[in-house]
Amino acid sequence: MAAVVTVCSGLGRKKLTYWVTAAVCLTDSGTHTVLYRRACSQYKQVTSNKNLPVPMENPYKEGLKKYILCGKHVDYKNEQLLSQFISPYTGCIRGRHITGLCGKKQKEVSKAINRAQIMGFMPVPYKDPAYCKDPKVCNIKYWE
Amino acid sequence: MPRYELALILKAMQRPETAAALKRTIEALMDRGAIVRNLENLGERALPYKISAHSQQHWRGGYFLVDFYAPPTAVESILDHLSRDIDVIRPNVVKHPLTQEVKQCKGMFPVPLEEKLYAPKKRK
Repeated sequence: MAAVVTVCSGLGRKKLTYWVTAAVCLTDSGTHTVLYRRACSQYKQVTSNKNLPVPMENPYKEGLKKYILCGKHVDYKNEQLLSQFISPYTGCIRGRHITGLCGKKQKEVSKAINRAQIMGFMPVPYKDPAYCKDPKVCNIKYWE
Repeated sequence: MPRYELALILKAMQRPETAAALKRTIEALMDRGAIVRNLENLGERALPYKISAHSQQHWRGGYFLVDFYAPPTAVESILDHLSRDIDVIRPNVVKHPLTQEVKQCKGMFPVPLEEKLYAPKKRK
């Protein structure tokens, strides 16, 4: 309970080194009082590597973002899927900056669209009206 | 032997005539040394555009899919034979899409916006 604090002045005011020690004695079992000590700069610091940050890979790193059609197979017979990447008014294939596909997938999709149009699976100058109400995948807005 | 797929568009006919046409087609395939694996019917539907074949215009057609194994040299003769068949509107032989492996895509690397700011100088 009785806290004895002793403050000792430095060895000399010229040196500007001072150290403060505080000793606390425990009388009660329940109370714990903080033992405070500020070591003098003249004292040797014991360096321990326990609490230093360990070099490691960022554990909160998010994986690479996967975009639509990543790892999925694109077929020329899949007219509904391919129709999502063409304009409903002109039937032109949407560019990469609008669809947002990977380089490989954009090439695959455009080749599949071409194939389907030539083989008689998909109309060329427009989009099949049955697929006009499909959810929008491309980054494009139309005037309503 | 590599695996091919025949996307066949037949004229819109009655059932027995369609059956006869398909039978003829598959027999022609087997004569050229192809091993027919499967025959699928994608239904009869309106064509996406008017197709004129053998001095006739077609608006409706029956879609059929035949996947078969064949030597690469036989593909040309198969297409030749099918183009002469009157009931066939459009034959197309393609490498089977299931044989193409889907490569594992890890994802897209984020491109820093500074690179996109200045377009690369085009050389004439």
